[in-house]
Amino acid sequence: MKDNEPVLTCRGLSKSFGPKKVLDGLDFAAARGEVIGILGRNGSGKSTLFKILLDLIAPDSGNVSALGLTPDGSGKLRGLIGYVPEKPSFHGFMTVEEVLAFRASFFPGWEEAKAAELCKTLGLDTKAKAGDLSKGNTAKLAWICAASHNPKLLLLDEPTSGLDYLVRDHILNGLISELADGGRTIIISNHRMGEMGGLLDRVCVLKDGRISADHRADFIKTESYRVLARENSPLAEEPGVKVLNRSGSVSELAVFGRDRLQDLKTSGKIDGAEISALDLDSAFKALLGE
Amino acid sequence: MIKIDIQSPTPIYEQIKTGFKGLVRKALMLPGDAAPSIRTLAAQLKLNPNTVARAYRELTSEGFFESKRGEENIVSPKAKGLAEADTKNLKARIAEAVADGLKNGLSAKDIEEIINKVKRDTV
Repeated sequence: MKDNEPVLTCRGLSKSFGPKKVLDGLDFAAARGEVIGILGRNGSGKSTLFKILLDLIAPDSGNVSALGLTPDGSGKLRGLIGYVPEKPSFHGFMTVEEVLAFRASFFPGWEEAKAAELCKTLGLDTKAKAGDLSKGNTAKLAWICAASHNPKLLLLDEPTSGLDYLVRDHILNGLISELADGGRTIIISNHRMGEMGGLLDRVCVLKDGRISADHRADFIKTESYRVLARENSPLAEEPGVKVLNRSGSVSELAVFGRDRLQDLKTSGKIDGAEISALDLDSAFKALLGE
Repeated sequence: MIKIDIQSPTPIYEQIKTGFKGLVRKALMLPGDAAPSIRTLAAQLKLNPNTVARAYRELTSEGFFESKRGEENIVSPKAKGLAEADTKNLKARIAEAVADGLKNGLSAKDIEEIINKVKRDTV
């Protein structure tokens, strides 16, 4: 397989729950080896998208192709994807060991030695009851379940939310180790993307049921600007330009792309621009609002 | 051992390269020393291993690393000279920036403040 070959393609995905349209003609593709961050506000449809990819729910329309398969309700695709749900839950009466043995039967690529090794690295007691695990240890177990079958595609739904620094470190290191093994495509949804900044190749913003912005991570790092300027006439928001703050005639803008910045400067709409680099968290925040 | 600022507009692989050159210049790494593996450094710095691999590839093609013992990246005898050349380059760039600053009307005190701020943020 070549590196730019798509591992995952979604075309025109739509899904409604009652009157609420959660996905509305979403197009999305991921290439082999890519690490993609899906940025979206709470309720923007990230988890719905993941559930469709996992063949847990069917879209109203549109199609999905992942790892050469299409979701058909058989669960075959699910056995090839590593998934960390937002709120992992396990059968509370089982021990960690039993959970792992139980999971192993669903995944053709399950590697018992890897699961044992990960338990050791993460310091997870295999004799403990799943129901007694702390939030941090539950997250570790979810990660071990996702990684132990060496999936070519990993879907992580808010994998670090609510975890302390040390557990988060463990999960990030696990991700990095999977990446170092090569050939893994990883899709991470997170509403606080800053901590993932060093891992991502691409950031997609999910808004109004579709991908509203799709940028290379290094583009966001090198070509997002904070512009402090005097507005000559009230600026209408346009793609790539977002008003962060406005007090009187002075505005603080987030601008994405060198060309966009150049256009803005020569448009006559603003005066006396003071330009600096936009920090990553502010850039993500601006993208979310865009 | 290397400090990365993921907020910085300087590409991360460049920051890694500069970091290693700094370590050699400060004699914390010596010719013959092995650099941490890509996996280890990526985990330490919370970076995509591909980014670390790119920095290592470029350091190898510049002759800063030599890949002798299997997969290991060894600091080459030439590394010190390369790091010094880098320093000379950086000094020239700083001198140029300071000269521009003075022409623009910055005072020596303004420049000192910049230096202090940068020191606080990076050291």
